[in-house]
Amino acid sequence: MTLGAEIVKVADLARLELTAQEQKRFGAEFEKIVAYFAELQRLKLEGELFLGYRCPRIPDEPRDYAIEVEKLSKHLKDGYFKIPPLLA
Amino acid sequence: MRTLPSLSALALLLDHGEYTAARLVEEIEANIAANEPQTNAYINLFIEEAEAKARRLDTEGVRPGEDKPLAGIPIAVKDNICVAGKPCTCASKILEGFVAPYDATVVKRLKDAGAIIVGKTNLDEFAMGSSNENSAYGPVRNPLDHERVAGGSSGGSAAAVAYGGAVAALGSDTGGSARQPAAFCGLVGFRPSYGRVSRYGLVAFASSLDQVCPITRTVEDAALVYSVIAGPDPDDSTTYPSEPDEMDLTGEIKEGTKVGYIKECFDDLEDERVSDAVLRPFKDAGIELVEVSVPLVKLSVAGYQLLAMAEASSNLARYDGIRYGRRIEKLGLKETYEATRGRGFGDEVTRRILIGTFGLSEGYIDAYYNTALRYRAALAAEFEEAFKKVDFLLSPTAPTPAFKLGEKIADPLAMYLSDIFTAPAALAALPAISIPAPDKVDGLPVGIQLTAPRWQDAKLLELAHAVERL
Amino acid sequence: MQSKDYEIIIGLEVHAQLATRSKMFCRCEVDVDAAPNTRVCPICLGLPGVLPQANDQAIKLGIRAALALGCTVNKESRWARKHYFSPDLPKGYQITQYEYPLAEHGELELPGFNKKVCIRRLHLEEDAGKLIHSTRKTLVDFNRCGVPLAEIVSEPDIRSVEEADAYLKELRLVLRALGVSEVEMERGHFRCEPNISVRPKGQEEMGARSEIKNLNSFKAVREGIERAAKDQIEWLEAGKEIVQTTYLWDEKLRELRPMRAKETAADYRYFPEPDLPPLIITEAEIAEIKASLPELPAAKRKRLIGADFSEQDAEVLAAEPRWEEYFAGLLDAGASIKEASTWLLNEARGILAERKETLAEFKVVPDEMAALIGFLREGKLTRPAAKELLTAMADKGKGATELMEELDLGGVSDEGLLEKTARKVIEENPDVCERYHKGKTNVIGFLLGRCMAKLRGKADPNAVREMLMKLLSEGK
Repeated sequence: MTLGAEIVKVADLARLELTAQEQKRFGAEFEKIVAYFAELQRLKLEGELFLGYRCPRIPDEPRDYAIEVEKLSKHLKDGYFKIPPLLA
Repeated sequence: MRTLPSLSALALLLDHGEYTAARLVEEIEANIAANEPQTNAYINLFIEEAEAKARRLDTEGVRPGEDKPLAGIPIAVKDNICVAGKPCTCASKILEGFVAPYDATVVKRLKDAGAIIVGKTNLDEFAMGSSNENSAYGPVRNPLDHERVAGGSSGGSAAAVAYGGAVAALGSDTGGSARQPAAFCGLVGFRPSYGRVSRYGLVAFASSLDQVCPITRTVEDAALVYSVIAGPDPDDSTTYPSEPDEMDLTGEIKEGTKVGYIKECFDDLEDERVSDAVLRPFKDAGIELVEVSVPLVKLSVAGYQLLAMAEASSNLARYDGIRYGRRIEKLGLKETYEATRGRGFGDEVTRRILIGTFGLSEGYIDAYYNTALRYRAALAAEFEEAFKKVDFLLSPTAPTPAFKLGEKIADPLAMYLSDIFTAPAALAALPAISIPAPDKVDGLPVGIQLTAPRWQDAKLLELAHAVERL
Repeated sequence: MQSKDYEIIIGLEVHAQLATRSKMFCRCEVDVDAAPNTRVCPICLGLPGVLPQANDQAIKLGIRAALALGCTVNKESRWARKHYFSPDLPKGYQITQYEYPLAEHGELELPGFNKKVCIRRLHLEEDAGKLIHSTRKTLVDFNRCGVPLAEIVSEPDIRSVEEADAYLKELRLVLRALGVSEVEMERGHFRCEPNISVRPKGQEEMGARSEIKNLNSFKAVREGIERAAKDQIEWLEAGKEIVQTTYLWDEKLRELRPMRAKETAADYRYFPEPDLPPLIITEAEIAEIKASLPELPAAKRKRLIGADFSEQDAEVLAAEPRWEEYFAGLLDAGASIKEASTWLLNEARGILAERKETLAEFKVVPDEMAALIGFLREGKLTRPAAKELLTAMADKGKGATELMEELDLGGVSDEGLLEKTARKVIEENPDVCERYHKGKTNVIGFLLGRCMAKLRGKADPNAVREMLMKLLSEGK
């Protein structure tokens, strides 16, 4: 299976709708770019870069952020976010 | 094109009462009116609020000082950094209608320091790009040459400062997104060590690479803005728990300072004039440059893109129109997700999400994402070795000066290669700064990039300040 | 259910909601009953630009649970992102722990089965929001999104529905005794996902698994496991191949509904969470939490049985903190273990069982019951009277002393009255007394009866008998 064909599976995983034309175009670019990465694999490098220190911990004290969901979305019903159903 | 004095100069003028905040905003407005139509640096402007705040500061006699170092200074903020009550578009259709309900930590700190937020600047969509041609709000044109790009992804921030539409700007840098536009527009772009500046409120592109950066006229300006925004933040668990070091910008290069030039950044340069422009100030000042080799730099674009794309695919999974932003509603849920995201994201973002998802997927993750992680570690080790021989590293910021609009947009790989010299510092979590070289190439600015070991931000700024004066 | 030819192998995955005040990665208040989308913030809504902050108490509770379950707490554990698209998952990924969990390799003893089930791992993660489905639309409430969860995974050591039931009940007991979780299954604090496979007895190779989701009660868990096992055995007998399947339990129809392969073949694309550095836990912290662990139910049961409590009593006391507290209250107020056991675990429990009430609804407080016990001990009450008093106290909620007087249940211990009554009876029955003096000592029973009648049964018969004997011996 060529990488270009993987693009359909990947688009599904990423929930991205692609037109047939886009599939072809992105598929071609996809192959080229991924092939470019092959150089890295050939090197067989080792190691892990430790960027952070230790996970800081925050005290368990609740606070009210006073977020108004109406300002975020108009798809609301009785305070709930409303979405289409999952089709069979 | 009338430009403004530096931030430091303006701060002095304001402090001494020789200038008012209101007048400064007036000047900014005039520059914006004159340049915005061609440049398109801003997505949203807050002129009226800026005027009101300026008037208030003047009336209350608030001047730049220790308490409010940026009082009355108009600053532009890249539109991927949240300002409360204002749209935050990230130059994407998918965030149409989204108004940020909170301030990013860096914005809060700017506001607390008295700064005036002029507006939100244009960028490559979700900070993905090296030319600011990937914006849903149109490309940014370089104020120095309208046929050319301003760089990316912080093209808008750089352009605004370059034409005097702001005194300074906040950009973001993931693989060079603040340094390269600064270089293309003849400005200073400073990328702090990863962990120095809070990312809370910076819309994530690649979490382990993103940093907020000052884009300014001078190194002193950058140092001032950095000192205001840097420091630990409980809202960002990846910030370093200690305060940044004190800086002492004397303008002198300390005795015994060793500067090395990265061999691999000069070897294959297409245009020797770029190399000359970067090296000349040092040669003329009689500063000896040591040759240092960091071989893995040659693969930096591969390592960077692989890592960044994977993290981006994860960070952009939240954009689905369910809770905010633009929703393209279909009969079913899955179809709604696919349409909203498929049509809401531009081409470059779609490209990166696809490849990033692929790089994390079962069966491929080791060959791709994990390989990128290992590359990163190996590159960081090479830098560590290099810093045993020298104190700072030198390279051009970009292989070329600003290229023409449309020149690279059709070839993603060609575009990615603009990051080849800036990506390494980001991958190794090192601080790096781009300052304009005294010489131009074809009349266009060239960026000199200096890199220091991690956490040596203060020392780097001190050196850059000295080099600026060479 | 057990089939003589087949072995049922069960592993249990439990998600327990941790009893913190705020969420796992933000400071929103945990209150799933609040009006929809009122306990939310930019972080748990997955707004652009937000970053998680780890809740210290959630981590401590996780460590607490891990230690109580005999796990090794990893000094370094890491957070991971688990990706899938669902409207109740705002970021498009869940922050959880994958390769490096908080704790591993524990065990849980099953009471009554003389068996220990190994616990593979315990890790922390955040909960998703709530979806309410209807045919034309779905509604989402994010109040629950971000609530801290501990995921506890057992090894597939369980061999029957009864063992599974015992495991869940004991796990629940432990978590509640620790104060780690409120563990009300019906309120979603304690969710169980069993995986079941069946193999012919003697076969080493494990069969394919059936996983079941959406079981919301102990009863459903039992039914679901039984059903899955039954189905698998049927298929094996019919020679069919079993494919690993995930099922949704249908509450209404009480049956297993297979989820579509597409729904379950998820590629979660796990990778380390870049927004949170590794979680470091020091030896000191582990020691501190270990030292603060209460006596666990298993240890408590052992101790009580060792102290001669019946197994049944030990189980009650170990299982119910309220009963244990009450019992302790009685001891504090001066009752002996035997007395407390009799009056609380026997008498009171009987009364409550009859009325189908819980101890929380019992109107008698420990101090008052202790007073009753004291009266009995001092001889102020006869045993039957005491029982009557307890019932009355349970009915009316009044104190022992008050009710004792009101109902005139108090025994007569006043020596003077006893003497007076005894004298009277002796006076009234000269011929019986003569018979006594002539050697028929058993007639004292008759005299005793007369006295008790006069005293309306309220005296201690032994004291009365003694008084009579004393007076008779004095020749009066």
